[in-house]
Amino acid sequence: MALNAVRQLRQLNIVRHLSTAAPELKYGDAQVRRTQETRASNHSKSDLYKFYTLPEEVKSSLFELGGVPKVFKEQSQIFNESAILVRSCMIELVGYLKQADKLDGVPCTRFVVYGEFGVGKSLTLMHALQYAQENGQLIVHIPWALKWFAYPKEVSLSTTKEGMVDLNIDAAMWLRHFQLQNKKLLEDPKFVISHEYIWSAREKSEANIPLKELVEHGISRVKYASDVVDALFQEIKKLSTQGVCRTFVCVDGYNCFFTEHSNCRPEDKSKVPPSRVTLTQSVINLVQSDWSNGSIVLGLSPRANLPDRRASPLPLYLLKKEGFESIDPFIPIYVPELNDEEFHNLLNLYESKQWLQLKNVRNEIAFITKQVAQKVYEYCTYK
Amino acid sequence: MNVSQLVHKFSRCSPLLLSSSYFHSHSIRLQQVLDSSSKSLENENPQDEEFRVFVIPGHNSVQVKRQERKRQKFKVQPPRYLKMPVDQDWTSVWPGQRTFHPAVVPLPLRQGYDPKRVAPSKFANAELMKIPNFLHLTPPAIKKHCNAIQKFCTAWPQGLETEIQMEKHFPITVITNDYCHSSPTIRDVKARIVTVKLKLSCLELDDHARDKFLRLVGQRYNPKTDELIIVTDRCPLRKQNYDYSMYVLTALFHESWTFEEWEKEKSVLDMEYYEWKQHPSYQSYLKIKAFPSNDTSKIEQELDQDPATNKYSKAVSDLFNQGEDPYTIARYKEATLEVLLGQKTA
Repeated sequence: MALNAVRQLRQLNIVRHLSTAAPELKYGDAQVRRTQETRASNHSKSDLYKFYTLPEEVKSSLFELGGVPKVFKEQSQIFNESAILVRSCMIELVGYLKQADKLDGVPCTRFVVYGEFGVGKSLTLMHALQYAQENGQLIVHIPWALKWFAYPKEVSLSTTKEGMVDLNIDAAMWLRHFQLQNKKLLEDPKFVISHEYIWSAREKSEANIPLKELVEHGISRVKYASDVVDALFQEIKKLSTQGVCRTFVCVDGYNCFFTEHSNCRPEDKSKVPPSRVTLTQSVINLVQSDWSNGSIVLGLSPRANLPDRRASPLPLYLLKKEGFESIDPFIPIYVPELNDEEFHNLLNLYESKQWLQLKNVRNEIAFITKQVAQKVYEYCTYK
Repeated sequence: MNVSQLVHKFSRCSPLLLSSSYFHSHSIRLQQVLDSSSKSLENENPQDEEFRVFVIPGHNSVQVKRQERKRQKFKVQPPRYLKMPVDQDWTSVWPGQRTFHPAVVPLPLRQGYDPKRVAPSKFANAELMKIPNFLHLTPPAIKKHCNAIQKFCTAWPQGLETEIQMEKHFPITVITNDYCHSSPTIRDVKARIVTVKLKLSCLELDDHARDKFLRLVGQRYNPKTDELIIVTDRCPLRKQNYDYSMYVLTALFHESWTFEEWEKEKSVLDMEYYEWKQHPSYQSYLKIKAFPSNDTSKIEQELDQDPATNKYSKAVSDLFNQGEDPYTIARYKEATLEVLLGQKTA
């Protein structure tokens, strides 16, 4: 905690220092290349390798309760703006999403975003989420699934499914995230649940009540949050198939559902793998292609795996056979390291923000960081 | 001061070089003093006696240098290579295997390393003697040898000119070793070992038989070269081992062609390769294609002819069979783009 506080203080100091500093470019030779187009759906090849600023209202409505990688969050706090580099993989993904949106009567298409640690997979997902929001899609976004299994809040044995384990507080927190992301859409009276759900002898959700109430029930009655999440996913599938809305599912760190161990320990202290957690079942059910009018984007990360299986970023290696077959066929999208143009533009930004104050170190940085965006940021921090 | 004191004094000065002649001379002088009248006849040279010099070693004596022993010099013949004619017959100079000899080899060889000077020359060079040389295997020597044994050879059979022809007509290679020692016995236990090599492609095997054959031979098969190597050494004689390896080969071949009842129990997990249609991936693909109906049996036959499906099935199988790498992933992406989004790539 103390460390965190120190870090925050440090950041605040830097922010204050920056706000008093002169805004003109002092250290950078080259100007930062920016694009004024802030809508993700309008980005085209002419915007490639340029920065756009994530609008504040998008940020607050989509990523209030998570979804932004820690390093990028820190950076945008220090720089006082969320500058996102438009990359070819983002445009590729959004292009495919546009194509998939035009298809009708086809089960939802799955996309898998993969790449090395720190290259910008989560930012690609953020870009896709922004696209989905702009097109008025219902967003089902699981920010970093590993959080459930690495730092579970409360682990209890499930009452409805035998041998399974509930993560009720985490599920309720996620429901809150869902509620915030779809605040406007959930007001729509078309979103009603199809049949009755009985939670206990006294509590039940009647058929044809708004979806919003189901979510609120999960948040207020945390005991049933996991079951509510499961029910919610079922309802979303039905609603999308009926054509009430188009749904965008986004899971970051999907491969963590197929690891052997998790930190979930119920009261009897037994070890529980992620496959025995109810949320896992619900998410895997959601990404099956037995429903239509939706698109699914899954992010894979070597960091979501256990340390013994992080050698390669390729999907089959990360997911193993079981995980691969749960989402096969999918369209893989590789997120590469920064190319030269992106790398220099990023360093231009850092120089303009005085985050990098040395000259003639670009070759060194490129060599040491392999042009991985996160490492570039971290290296410049100490430079 | 009497003589004995004197003697004692000088003996202190240089006890080592106190010569016996000194004693002698004084004893003579004493005699003279004591018996001056009777001048003895034994003193042959009285003049010398008078002027004898008192010898102080190192001061007025010169040490005689010892004569050095003369080194005997033998007459040595110059090295043989200096007398060799340029057009001599080397095979008769160096007819067989032999340790290097500097005088015989007319080459300015050097071997070894000296940090300050050039590499040591060939004379008295142990390094050159240690390494094996092939001076007896010069091209003319081999030619001569071949010419000599040619009369024992038969003509090369027609139709066996190329490696492919040889492999076709003689698919099995049998390797044995003979050992020759200068020991009381001419036998060596290692001579019994028989190695049989053959390419698996020369055996007629179907999918099942090949799979069973490979499972039976295990590590003896090298998939990179498609070569099977059977080594037999359990019998005491070479003939027995050879017969045994032939028996093993025959038994393996026929055993792999038989289909036992229990082989039907082979499940997906036991498969040695990825067969798309036996995996859940195929079922989920069928469901996608049949959507929104759940009946997949109708479209199953149509899909067999569909080129996109075939491309996709090949891509998935390659991903599992060849292993995952950027190339197979790229093929998979092409196939799925065509299947899911209808986007064709050249």
